Amino acid sequence: MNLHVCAEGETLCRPGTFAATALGPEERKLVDAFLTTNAGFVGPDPEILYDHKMGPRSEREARVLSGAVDLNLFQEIRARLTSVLDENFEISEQTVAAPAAKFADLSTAFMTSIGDVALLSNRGVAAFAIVMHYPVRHILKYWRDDPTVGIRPGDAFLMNDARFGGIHNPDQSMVMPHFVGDELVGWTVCAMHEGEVGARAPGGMGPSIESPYEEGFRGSPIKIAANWELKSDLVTLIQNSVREKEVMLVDLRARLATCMRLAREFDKAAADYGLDAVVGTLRHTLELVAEESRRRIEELPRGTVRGQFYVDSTSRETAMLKVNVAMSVEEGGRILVDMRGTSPELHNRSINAPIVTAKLGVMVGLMNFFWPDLPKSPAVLQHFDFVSDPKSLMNCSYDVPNAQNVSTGFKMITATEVLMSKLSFQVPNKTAAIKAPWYNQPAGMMYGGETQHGHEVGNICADLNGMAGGARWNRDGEHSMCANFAQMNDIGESEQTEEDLPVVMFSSKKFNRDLASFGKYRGGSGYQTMYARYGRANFGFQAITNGSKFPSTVGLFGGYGSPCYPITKIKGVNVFEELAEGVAGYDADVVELLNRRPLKGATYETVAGAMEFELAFEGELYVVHQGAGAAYGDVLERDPALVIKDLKEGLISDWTARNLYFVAFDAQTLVVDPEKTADLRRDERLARIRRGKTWDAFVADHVRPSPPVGLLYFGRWNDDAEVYGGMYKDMPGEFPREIMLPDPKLIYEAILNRKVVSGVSTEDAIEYDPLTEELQQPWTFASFAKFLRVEGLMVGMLAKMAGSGLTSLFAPRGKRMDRWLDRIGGHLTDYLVACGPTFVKLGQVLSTRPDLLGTAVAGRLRKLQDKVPPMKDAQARAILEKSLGRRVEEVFAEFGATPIASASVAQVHRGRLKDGREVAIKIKRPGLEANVTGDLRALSTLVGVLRSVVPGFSGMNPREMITELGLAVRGQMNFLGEIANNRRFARNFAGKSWLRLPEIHDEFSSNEVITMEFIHGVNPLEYVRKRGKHDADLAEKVYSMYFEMVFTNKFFHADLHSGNMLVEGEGKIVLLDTGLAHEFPSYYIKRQLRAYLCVAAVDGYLQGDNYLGDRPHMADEKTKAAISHDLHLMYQRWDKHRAKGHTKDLTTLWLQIMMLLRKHRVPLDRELVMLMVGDITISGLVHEFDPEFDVVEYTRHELPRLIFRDGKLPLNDPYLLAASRRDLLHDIRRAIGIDVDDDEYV
Amino acid sequence: MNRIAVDIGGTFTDCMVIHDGRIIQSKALTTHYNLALGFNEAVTNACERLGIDPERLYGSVDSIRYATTLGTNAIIERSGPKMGLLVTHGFEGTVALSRGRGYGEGLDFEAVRDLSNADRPDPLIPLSLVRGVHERIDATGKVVWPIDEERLRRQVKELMDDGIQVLVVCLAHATSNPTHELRVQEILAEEYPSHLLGAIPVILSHQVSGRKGEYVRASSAIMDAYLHGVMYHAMADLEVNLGDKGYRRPMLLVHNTGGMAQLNSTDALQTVHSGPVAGIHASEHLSKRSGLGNLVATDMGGTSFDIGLIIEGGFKHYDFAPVIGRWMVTTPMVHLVTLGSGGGSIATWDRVYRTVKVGPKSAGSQPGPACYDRGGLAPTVTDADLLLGYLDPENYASGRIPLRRVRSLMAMEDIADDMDLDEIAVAKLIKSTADRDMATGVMRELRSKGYLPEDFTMLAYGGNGPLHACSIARHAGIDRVLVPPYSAVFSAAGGASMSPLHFHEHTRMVPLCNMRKIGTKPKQMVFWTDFEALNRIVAELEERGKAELARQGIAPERARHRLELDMRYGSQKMEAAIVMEKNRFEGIRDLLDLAGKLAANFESRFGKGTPAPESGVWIVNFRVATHVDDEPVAMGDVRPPEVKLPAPEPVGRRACHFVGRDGGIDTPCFDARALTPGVVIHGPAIIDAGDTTYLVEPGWRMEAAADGAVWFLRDDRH
Repeated sequence: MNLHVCAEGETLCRPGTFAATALGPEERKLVDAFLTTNAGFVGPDPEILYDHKMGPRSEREARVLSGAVDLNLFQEIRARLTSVLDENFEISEQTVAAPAAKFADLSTAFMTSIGDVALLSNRGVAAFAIVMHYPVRHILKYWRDDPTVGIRPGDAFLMNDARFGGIHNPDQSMVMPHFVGDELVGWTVCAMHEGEVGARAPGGMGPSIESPYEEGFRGSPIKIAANWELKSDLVTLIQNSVREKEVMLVDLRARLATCMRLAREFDKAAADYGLDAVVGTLRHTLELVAEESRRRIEELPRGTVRGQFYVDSTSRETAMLKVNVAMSVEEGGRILVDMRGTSPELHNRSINAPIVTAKLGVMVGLMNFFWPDLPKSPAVLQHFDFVSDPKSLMNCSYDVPNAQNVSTGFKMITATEVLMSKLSFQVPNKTAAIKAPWYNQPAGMMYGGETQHGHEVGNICADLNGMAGGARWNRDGEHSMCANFAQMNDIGESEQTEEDLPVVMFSSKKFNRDLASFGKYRGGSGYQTMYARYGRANFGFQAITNGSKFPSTVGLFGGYGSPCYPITKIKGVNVFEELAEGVAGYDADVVELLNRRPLKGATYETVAGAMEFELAFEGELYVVHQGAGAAYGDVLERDPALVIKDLKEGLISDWTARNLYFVAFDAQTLVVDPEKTADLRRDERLARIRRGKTWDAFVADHVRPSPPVGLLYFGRWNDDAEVYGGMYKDMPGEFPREIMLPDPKLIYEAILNRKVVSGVSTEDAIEYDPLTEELQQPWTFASFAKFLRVEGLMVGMLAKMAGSGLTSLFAPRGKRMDRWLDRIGGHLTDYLVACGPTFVKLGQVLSTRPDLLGTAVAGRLRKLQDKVPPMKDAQARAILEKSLGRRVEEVFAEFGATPIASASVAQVHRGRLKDGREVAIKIKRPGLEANVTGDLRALSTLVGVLRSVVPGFSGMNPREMITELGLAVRGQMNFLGEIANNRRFARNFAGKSWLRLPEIHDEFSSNEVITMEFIHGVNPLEYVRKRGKHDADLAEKVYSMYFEMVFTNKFFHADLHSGNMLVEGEGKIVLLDTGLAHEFPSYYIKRQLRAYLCVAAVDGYLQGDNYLGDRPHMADEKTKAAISHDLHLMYQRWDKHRAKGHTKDLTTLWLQIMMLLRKHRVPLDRELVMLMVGDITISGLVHEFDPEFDVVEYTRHELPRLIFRDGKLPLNDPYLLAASRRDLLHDIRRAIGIDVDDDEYV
Repeated sequence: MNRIAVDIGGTFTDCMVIHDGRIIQSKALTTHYNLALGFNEAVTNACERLGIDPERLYGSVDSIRYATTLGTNAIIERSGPKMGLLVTHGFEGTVALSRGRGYGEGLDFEAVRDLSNADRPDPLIPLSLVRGVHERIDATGKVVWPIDEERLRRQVKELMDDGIQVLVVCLAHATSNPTHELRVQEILAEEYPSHLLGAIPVILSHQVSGRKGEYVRASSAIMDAYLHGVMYHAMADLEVNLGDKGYRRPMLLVHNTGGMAQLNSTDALQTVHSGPVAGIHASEHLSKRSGLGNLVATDMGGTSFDIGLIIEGGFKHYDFAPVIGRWMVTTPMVHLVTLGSGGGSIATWDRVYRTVKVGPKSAGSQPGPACYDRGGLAPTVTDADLLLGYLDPENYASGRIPLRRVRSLMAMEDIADDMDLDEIAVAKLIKSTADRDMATGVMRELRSKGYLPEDFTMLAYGGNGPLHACSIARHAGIDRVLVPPYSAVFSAAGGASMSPLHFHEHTRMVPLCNMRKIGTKPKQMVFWTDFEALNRIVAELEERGKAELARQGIAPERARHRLELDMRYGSQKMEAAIVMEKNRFEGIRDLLDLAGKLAANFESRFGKGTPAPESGVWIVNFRVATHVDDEPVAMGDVRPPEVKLPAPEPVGRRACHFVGRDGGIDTPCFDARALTPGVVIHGPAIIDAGDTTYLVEPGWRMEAAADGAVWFLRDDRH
């Protein structure tokens, strides 16, 4: 019947309802009567479920409290009843069977006659205080007068469906009405986490649940006991619905016994003090709490504080789900909690929270962290009001699963912690310490299966109770101590766990390095547990944690949030066998395990914190972590002694101590150097100021109009009233249809299929693309001006191009086109230089794509040099000083006023350090970044034009182009990238005595300045020229460098020309300008290797296959056949040519391939083009050193090593087999070491 | 029978000397720098009263017994040694995490609930001195990862280089298979032989506790190691002192198990709380001698209120995971609850309930209650007692501490203003609140063990006990209160009447019956059949008990064994200690008998429906108590004498205020020394007993009994 009532806060009435205003009172009555007598189903009643406030006084309560009351007597009764609750809590804890409840996930309570929890046990779950009145109101409203049910002495009701109140499905609660004579005077409660309720996932909740009908036994309040006895038929029904049948029975009995003991104590108290006094005490407690909470709210400053909190997974897939919370303190001692803008509900994921759960999050936060002295009752929230979007994650409908609602609901606890900390910071009389939030995820393994004792189980390990404490305003947080929703719950003893369950915990309670949050005061550290399934029983694991990619717990006042650790699985190995045999280097620390992988043959896998149930084989390892409590205050203010203590205790790494806390200490003795620490910290503060931005700049940089493309985002973005729902965006509650997410297994299957078909990995399909966002930003005047300029110049350029077209007609026949193209290249070059650095860069990028522009234009672009007048000396110095935070004189003994080189991005000065070392100082030009966005926007328009003008562009994806360009430009503009690249090359080539990179002086470098060793060398061409003749040695070195970069390191200097190299002394090569570098995925390296194999095999068909075989969508069969045919001819021709000694490299072949593909309008992967162009460039360079150097011979010689020794291709690679068929590759045959029977393959 | 029993407390060394049928009590100040001095003084005092020479006394005494709170003090003062800890690799954080709940152990609910201010105590072994040994043993005792000795040697060296003075070893499942722990000990002996100066003591967890639970066993071993040095030196001093005096017989230490043993059979952990436990033992002894039935023993001092239960028939409640200081350990200890209520408890105005709250903060003895005039400004229970007229300002603590009433009045002012009451009304409120809280504690103890208050007699001792006894008892629903004889040296009296007793435990999960699937058949109840395996465990524990007694020179024939089994239902956590009638298992009848006992135990304590045999009936722990029954001290019959005598003349009168009565009531004051057995005094009355004051509240009467015992009996109940 309730279906027809519009709930408070609900803007949408359900279909078939009558708006209340449309009916007169008479009509209303009739309608109600009709509906009452014709209800098909007594469902959850919004009228009850949206009302968290305490109900009116009963008649007796009103009578007792209207007269004079003896507060001291009430206090005595209260103390006695609380003590009764506490002792019965302990008895229940010991006599129930469900594991979580045995570790204090439990509560006992006395309620008033209308079901308000007046007193709750001190220990246990505070939240039960505010969720138990809903089922009782339901019983009173629907069952009291129902002749088939009724409420009588000795009855007890059981419920677990969160749609009727309660916390979540795994929580099963029993309430017992208490009568004195005929009068219902109160209720006794034993509520607890039962766990196993027969859901699809063992333990009552889990990622696999996609529908309310997979949440197991759905207990609306049912009368499970009458006449003080359980009803066997119903008990059997429930047992029959769940995995742990005996546990269910034991727990039902234990709860009934507890309710009865509580009832008996109520009677005894009534006998001692009088019924009026006891009833009065219960009600009066509620009213006192309500009044006191109002008084405390009035102490808070008026105003609104906001926070946003994220759940980074739906439990089944990675997603960003938002919990949006604002708390406003209003006149009259009220707080309004506004949760609008929170993610919409997900139709087939179980992390939706009913409004009840959202409210209890606030209540628990208040009870455990701000007003711990108040008795736990709904009256705490009497002066709180809530607003939320209907059908949202914090106010879900009844049609969606919610078993895992705590994952989301816990965010409300964190929200309350953060927002109330801010509100109560200045309140003089605090009832608790200001602190950063507690860790807030149920991070523990759930398990299911059969034990070594033959028991069927499905439940949760007590480890989830070990949530770490947040840092306080004056001291660190405590390591894992108790759940944020309870007090003194227990994480148990692993020896006991191993007695009961078929597991060995190879790590039971172990701190991981840096699994503490960082700040002036750090949060408590979380711990790691590692389970190995042991023995022969069928047994498996499941997990329901979020926050393994994005911190779920945020820091306070500058402190860091909790670090994120995923779940680690080490499978395909039996650790017991390995240990028995004595595996070397095994360590229970997950970081060590993942880095060193001592168990050979095992698969090492990390998964997000939520994991669907899976059976484990014996000796497979599952590692899970508790997160850390959040930190408080600035890391730079942390007492160095405390940092060292953390270091000694293994809570943080050396790296963290030095680079995050900026503490200088002796590596051996760990003695702190206070002066140096102070210096480091001062420097870092200065650096922060330098990194700092104005508010407007920050907003301009960081505020995006919409979520990144490709991110599965849910919730409000910025202040927009609309809400994102993954793929849709709409007004809250009005999504075109329910948000259904696909089963991740189906996606995985699709990926596998695609992999099989295409060989392309799509694992990174969801890729953050900041540029797209940037381009979506509105035009500014500056960017528009830029656009106009670029367009204007382009018109000029196009005119020139046309002009050149005409003049080219005068050239001899056959050369006209070439000349025109050459001219076009020239105009384009001029144009790009005129447009500025971004465009110069574009030219450089384009120059690597002869497949797009043709060789002539590309060749012209390759010579693109941007000669730009140098900055004024003072300006260069100013940039240097601002960036380094020191005066030039402080750093340099000498500083050359005139730059030795100058380009659009930077210029280079010569100088000398204080210690006498000579340096080259590269200084970035100012204000480049600001232009980039405008340039890119102008470019995207331009590219559109180019697409229609230049052949070859049509097959091109302009966005990819612009993205690449954007990354290249940005990469070059941030010198940190160049420095990192320099390092990486230096590391990669550390073993080569004939190659090095200039040493960079970090302390004098920044993102705008690079101070590096000054190299006394000469340009290689000059070097060769000076020595006269050719230099075969240098040629081989340079070519082998290229080979090493591409095939061994997979990290490639993308700007390799003679200008970026120096030769030092007797032929030592120095590599410069590492700003543009490219990392190649293995996929392309393999492909290129195969291309070489095809060359060796002189098999153009095979090459066609190599490029197009696994990408049917790129070319139809006809085109593919044509390409293959042409390729084959081309290969044969080339091979003949080579046999005659006309060519010593692959340049012509690569160029012809690109031209051919361009002719057929088949786009090639830019990586492959880059590899070909790289080879062409380097071959050209090498031949300038020594025209006789035979690149092909070198390749032939090196290929077997790459293929076999470095294992780049598997031995059963079809290309390898095909190549080995040819006599051409004797080397390969030899290297394989097997005599391949040719007939087999023919 | 000649004995000396001593209880060395933080302030006083209490002594009871039994010589030729005479029982003498004496006291001396504890001399912390050398306990022997205080001890000698107390004995000398007693000898003076006996009129004999100390030498003669020592020559005739058959045993000397110590109870002491030294261990407790060492924990509070943090005066123990620097220790290192070896645990199984992967368990390094176990002690630091203290099962999560460790932050709240030993604290009251108010502290437990305030998570924002929750702190664990500073660890006895910091994380930096914990090392994880590469080794692993499974729950059944099978080695799944052999110990990496080379690494272990390096780790031990690191710890030694860090300067540890004691090494604690707690490896996983060492109770099932101690070989790895023993190997650590061997290696330490190899690296640091005991004859060299670098040698240090090694404490192995399986030798301290036979129970499963890596945290509680580790914390037991740590606590034991921590106290080891302190206790060793103090006890050695005493033993040397006794040797000097010509005493050649055993020196016995009272254990917190309620038994006692010689030094060579005592580990330090067993002595913690032995003072209060000796008090409970004295109560038990008293109950047996005088047939008093069930007792609840209460000891109210300046800062704490101890509660212990003595059940008729000798059934003792033990804690198997007691909290010492703020650490949960596992050792069988006589169950004892301590509440933070005492004379020094501070009263505050509770804004939420608009009434008075007493405790848990205490003014202690420094600065003490406001009326001590030593700088304390907060109102305490003692201040309330003073204002209500119960205490004689001139004669408090035998006149040692003068009390200033005006200070108490000033301290009450704030609350009086907040509540708009006068100071006397506030004082009444403080007293009744304090009494109520203590009564709640008493009731809770009884109810949670399944007992009814009306079946109990309350024993009240300690400095403030007899002053509050009537009110506490009334709130708790108890009608009979006994202030025991020798109450001033009650713990010493307990020590005097103890017998040697040792517990030996072995954790082994044994399903007496269990539902399980066998092959493809449906689940069915399967009973345990290997009785010999069980008997082997019992026999081995008995052997250990006998060996322990043999070490103390007690003949094996004198040893008696009592087999106790900690049992639980398969799925529950609640364990019950079930005493088996016989010491060997013979057949399924024994199993069913045990199952029946367990069910009866549960039903009587927690109500119908709490037994859960469906989930299996398990023995989780075997315990053998090996004891010798010594002759107990002959205390007199302290039951109220049949012959009633009228009250003597009061020595004075004071105006006193009582809860529930308006205005001052003229109350007679008596001198305790004038009381002879049989004297009846009706309340209200005040009796000055020197170190303590008896308050007979209106509605109660006092009856004096033998040996200085005093009864408070309720008049107005019926």
